[in-house]
Parts: sequence; structure tokens; C-alpha cells
Amino acid sequence: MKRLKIYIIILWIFILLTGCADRKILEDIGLITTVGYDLAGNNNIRSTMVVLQIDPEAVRNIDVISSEGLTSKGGRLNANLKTSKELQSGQLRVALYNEEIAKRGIKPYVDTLARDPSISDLTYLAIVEGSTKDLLKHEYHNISDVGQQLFNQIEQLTDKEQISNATLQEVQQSYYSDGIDPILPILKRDGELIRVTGNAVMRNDKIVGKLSPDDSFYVKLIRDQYHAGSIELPFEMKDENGKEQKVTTVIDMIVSSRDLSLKDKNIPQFDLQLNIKARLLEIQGDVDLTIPTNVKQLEKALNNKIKKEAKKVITYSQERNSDIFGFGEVYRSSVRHSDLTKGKWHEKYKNMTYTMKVDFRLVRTGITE
Amino acid sequence: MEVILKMKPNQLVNAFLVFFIIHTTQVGVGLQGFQRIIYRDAQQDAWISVLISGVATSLLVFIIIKTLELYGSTDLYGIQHDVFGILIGKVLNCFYIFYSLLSFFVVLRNYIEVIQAWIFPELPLWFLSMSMLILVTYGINSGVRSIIGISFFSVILSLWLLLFISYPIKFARIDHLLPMFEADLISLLKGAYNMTFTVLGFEILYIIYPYLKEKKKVMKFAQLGILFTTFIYTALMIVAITYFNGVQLEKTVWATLSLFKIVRLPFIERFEYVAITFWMLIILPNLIFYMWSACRGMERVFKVSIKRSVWLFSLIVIISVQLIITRTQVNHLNDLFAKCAFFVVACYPFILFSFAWLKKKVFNKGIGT
Repeated sequence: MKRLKIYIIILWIFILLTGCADRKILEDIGLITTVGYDLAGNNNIRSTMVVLQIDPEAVRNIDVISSEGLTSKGGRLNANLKTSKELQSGQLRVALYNEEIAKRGIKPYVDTLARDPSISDLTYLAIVEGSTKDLLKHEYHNISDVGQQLFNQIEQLTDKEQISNATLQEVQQSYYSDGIDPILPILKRDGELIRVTGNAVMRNDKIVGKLSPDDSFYVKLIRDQYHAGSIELPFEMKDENGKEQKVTTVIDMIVSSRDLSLKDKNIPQFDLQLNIKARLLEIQGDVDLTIPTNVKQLEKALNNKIKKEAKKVITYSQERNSDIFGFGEVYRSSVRHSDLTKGKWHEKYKNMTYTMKVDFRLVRTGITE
Repeated sequence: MEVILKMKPNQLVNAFLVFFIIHTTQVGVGLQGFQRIIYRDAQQDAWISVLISGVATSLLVFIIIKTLELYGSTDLYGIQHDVFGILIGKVLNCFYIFYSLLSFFVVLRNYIEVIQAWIFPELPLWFLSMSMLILVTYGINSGVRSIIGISFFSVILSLWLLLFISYPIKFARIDHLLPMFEADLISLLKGAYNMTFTVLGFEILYIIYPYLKEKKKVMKFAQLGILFTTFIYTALMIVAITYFNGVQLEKTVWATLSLFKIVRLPFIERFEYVAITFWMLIILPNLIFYMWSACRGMERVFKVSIKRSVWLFSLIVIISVQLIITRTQVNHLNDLFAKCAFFVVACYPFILFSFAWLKKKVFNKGIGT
């Protein structure tokens, strides 16, 4: 019994002692929720941080601090000199990279995020047109916390499948992969708003081109396999009298899947088949949907439109030599002992050919006809 | 020294508990990051290496139990004493005591490394090792039945962690596993060899055997334990290969823990911290069993009571833990230990079995003569 008592006392001491290990009191730390990187001068990097403060007396509960350093972590150390609170990055939600930095490559900045155990793998990455400092420092009329706004905006768009999922984990997975290149959303301050202007086409870790949100839809369609969200499509089709007319539709993908297979490994040549089941959200133009042949016509027209647009985007990515669709992954997984490297694949990707088939089905046209 | 051990009925435990003993001693620090070591050799076929190692451990367990069955009710210390005589037997027994202590040390040091890298970088080595040692000493002083009880609860209470593997599965890319069977036999075997450090632990059978009640059922439950462990290892290997990209996986030191980084619950955002701290419950039976088998050796060979030797060994561990500080040293220690352990658990059982068998069957000699 006496021995047991001693043990219990010792155990208690240790439980109490754990309180001594590196305390972090909420009132004494500044939580970095968003960080932006700009180039400043030739070698320096300017980091801009949105810091959340837990202080009931403060007028604004966020603080935006900018500082320069040779590295991103150096920037944080310098930023620490400007604040009364210890800066912590455990709550980091969004990391922004200015276009100029993205042209040089974002690898070192992504690597430092991945190395730090306190940073979540679900942190969103994005490219910013213009300086990130301007985007973060601007005092918006309707936005009280720019960090929260950015996070909600990107999360909402990712959930609704309007932009590709660009979390730290996803970007790393494609960056390290030999046969697929990362894709990141592009943001821009547009007056009092923050706007997503499209997607950045990356080759390895460098930005080499941009796609509009509409074009990005086709990337999602081929790259992500599952859902691709909604899209507005203007096209021309013949009505029942054989007259050409302009029609604009908005369709929402219910199910989409892609079959991509390697036909010839020397060229290389691929067979791409897209199977899409969609519903009609809106149609402008004089089409009578009660007539089944018209629906068939509409399906056919949409089919061709999607095919045409998708081909355009693939050609663009081949010109920029960035495999954002993941053709290389299929190549790697179908060719034995291919010893594929990123460089080798980019060489091959330029000359890649493919045949494309689209199977588009309009399964629903809404509750009216 | 008495070769045949006659246990009192109140010291015995049911044979089905062997399942839990085998499972807890196998699962431990190795599980946190075994994936990248295997991946280095076998690439996307690493899961086959894991299966091979599973078959090999199953065979080893078979040999170990067969050796023990020759005697009926004894442990390794008794067998070595009987087979090799007083002098060589004593040397080998001392070696095994040292091996158990070394295993203890390696498990402890690796767990501390994880704590320091992920949660508390500043926490001193002595503090963490002391808190673990107090728990271990407490466990050992409560007797064998309590130790086995701890291992039972360690399995039951940590099974729920497996559920969270479903989160990374959502981001898995199955084509990472393709092309299958690309690695040649040599690399597969190399991968399986590198599993040594991870699958270790089943050698505890050598020591725990006399305490088991229904000796005939031991084989069945031990093999079931191995099967369960192999299943978990293979599942985690496949999830890691599909979730991470190859190069990324090779860079990830603790892949299993990094898998938990993607888990985000409404009430706890950073689940990996829960997983890491909870890992202590998984490590604890490991530590206790290794320390106990070393102390048990002291009791059997030198007739020093377990309670006394546990203090002596704790002191040795506290002092020697200060010698290994950097990650490179830890890695070096692990490599060295894995080599030594490969001989002890993968080669030696065959040698011991053949000697014991020769002595019993060919020379037809009784026990202790």
C-alpha cells in the first residue's frame, strides 16, 4: 500500500510537470492564418501575414504584418520584431504566392510548409496576380477578416468543384509525381472584392500559363475523374426546321468519368473517353424540349462543343508543355520499367497524340419541359 | 538453474491472450514510418514485401513454438542452459538480456524522437524517458498478469485509430500501385528484410511461454496475431503508396503519422497530435515486455529479483539515452539494431531448434542431463 502511494505521488508530479513543457497561451500568441510571398529586390522575399489576435479590447481582431527576409521563415522572424505577440503558424489556412515568385518556382516555399509539423496538410495554396501585400493589406469595405474570407472563398469553390483542389498535400503529390503537373487557382484583388480569375498551369513548380475558369472545367473533367461542377456553354445548333441558331446552356455534371488508356507507348498515343451524365440548368434560345429529337440534337451539339473545347485546352497545355491532365501517370502505370522522370515525360508530352470520344447524356431537364 | 518451470495456477493466463501479446509487441515505433524504408527497395510493389515478411514471421513463430514444445514448459533461458551447457548457456543468456534491453532502448528513443520532432522540440530526453520508465517500472512491479492485461487493453483501446485511415483513402490514387510486379525478387526480398525492425516483437514468446495455460492452443492464437499484424501493415503500406507520391513517400519520415495529418474533425482540427500522444499506449506494452524479459533473464540466470534489476536497468537506460541526440544517430542506431535483431529473431531460432531437436530426439537425452 505504501509503495502504491509513492507511485501515485510520483505519477501526479509528472502529470503536473507536463504543464511546464513549452506553454502557448492564447492571449500571448498571434495566429498566422494567411501568408503571402512577394519578390522584393533580387534575392529578398517579402512575407505578408494576416495575424489573428485574441484580444477583446482590440478594434480589429486581425493585424497584417509585412517584412522582408532571404527565406520565408526568415521573414517570419523579422515579422516577429514588429509584434508584441509570438507568431505561430499552426492555424495557417491559405498560402499565397505572387506570380513573379511562381515564375521562379514555388518549391522552396512549399517545402518549408511541408517540413513544419505544425502546418496542416489541408492548407490551400494559390497564385496571386499582382502583389500579395496589396491583396492582404487592402482595407476592404465588406470584408473584416481577409484571411477568413480567402479561406472560405477557396473552400467553397473547391467544394462546389469550381476550382481544382489545391491543398498542400495535393500540390505536393502532383509536384513529386513524374506524370502530372500541379494546378493552382489564381486570385486577384478586383476593387473591393477578391476574385478567382482562373487556374495557373504549372510545369513542375513554375507557372507557365493561365486558364480561364471555363477552360479549367475541362481540366477538372479529365484530371479529377469524379465531378466537374457546372459550366455555361454557348454554341450553334440546327433546330427542327434545319435553321442554324445560337443557343446558350448551363449544364451541371451529375456523374462524369474518364477512361484514359495508352495505345502506343512510342509516340505516345492515348485513347481518351469521357462519359458525362448531366442535367440542364438553363437554356437560352428557341429549342422545344418536348420533342425527343430536339433533345438528341442538343445532346449532340453539346457533345461536339465539349470535345472541341477540351481539345483546345489540351493543345494549350501541350504548347506550354505542362501535363495538368495526368497523361503521364497513365503512361507510367502502363509501361513496365519505363524509368520515367519529369524531364523525360515533358519531352514526350510535347509530341503526344490522342483520340477523344465524348459520351454526353442529358439525363434531366428540370421540373418543366 | 531449473530448466522446466512449474507455474502456480494463479500465475497462468489463457492462451487466447497470446493474440494480444504478439500483436502489441509487434506494433510499435516501426509502424509509424516503415513505409519509406520498404518503398526504397521495392517501389510500388512494397506491399508484396510486407506480405513476404508476414509469411516469414509466421514461419518463425512456428519454429519458436516447436522449440518450446520440445520442453513443455520452459523459456529461452532454460533451453539455452539445457542445450549449450552452463558456460555457453550463460553467455548466450546474457546476450539475450542485453538484446532485450537494447530493444527497449531503441523503442524508447524512437518514440522520444517522434515527440520531439512533432510536438515538443525543447523537451529534454531525460524528462521523457524518466516519465516512461516510471510507468514501465510500475507495470513490471504489478506482475506478469497485469502486463498481459496492459497489452490486451492497448490493442482494444487503440483499434479505433484505424478508422481514421479512411480519410486519406479519399485522396488515394490507385494507379500509384501500377504497374504491378515490376520489382524483381531481390528487391522484394530486400524490402522484406528491411521489415525486420517493424515486425520484431514475437520473440517474446520465448519468455512468456511458461505462463500460458493451454499450451496446445498457443500456436493457433499466435498465428492469428501475426495474421492481424500483417493485415494492418499491408493495409497501411497500400494506403501510403496510393496517398503519397513515390518521391514524397521516400521523404516522409513517419508516413503513418503523416497520414493522420489529413484528418480534420469539427471539434479537433489537427488529429495527428492526438494520434502521436495516443501512440504512447501502443508503445507502453512494447516497453514493458522488453524490460520484463530482460529482468526475467536476470532472475533466471543470476537470481536477482525482478524488482531490483528493473531499477538497475532503468538507470542504465537513463544514462545511455543521453548519448544519442541527433536524428542521424537515431537512424544509425536503428540500422545497427535491425541488423543485430535480424540475426536474433530470424536466424537464431532455426539454430536453436536444430540443436534442441538433436539433443532430444537423436541423442535421446533427458532434460537437465
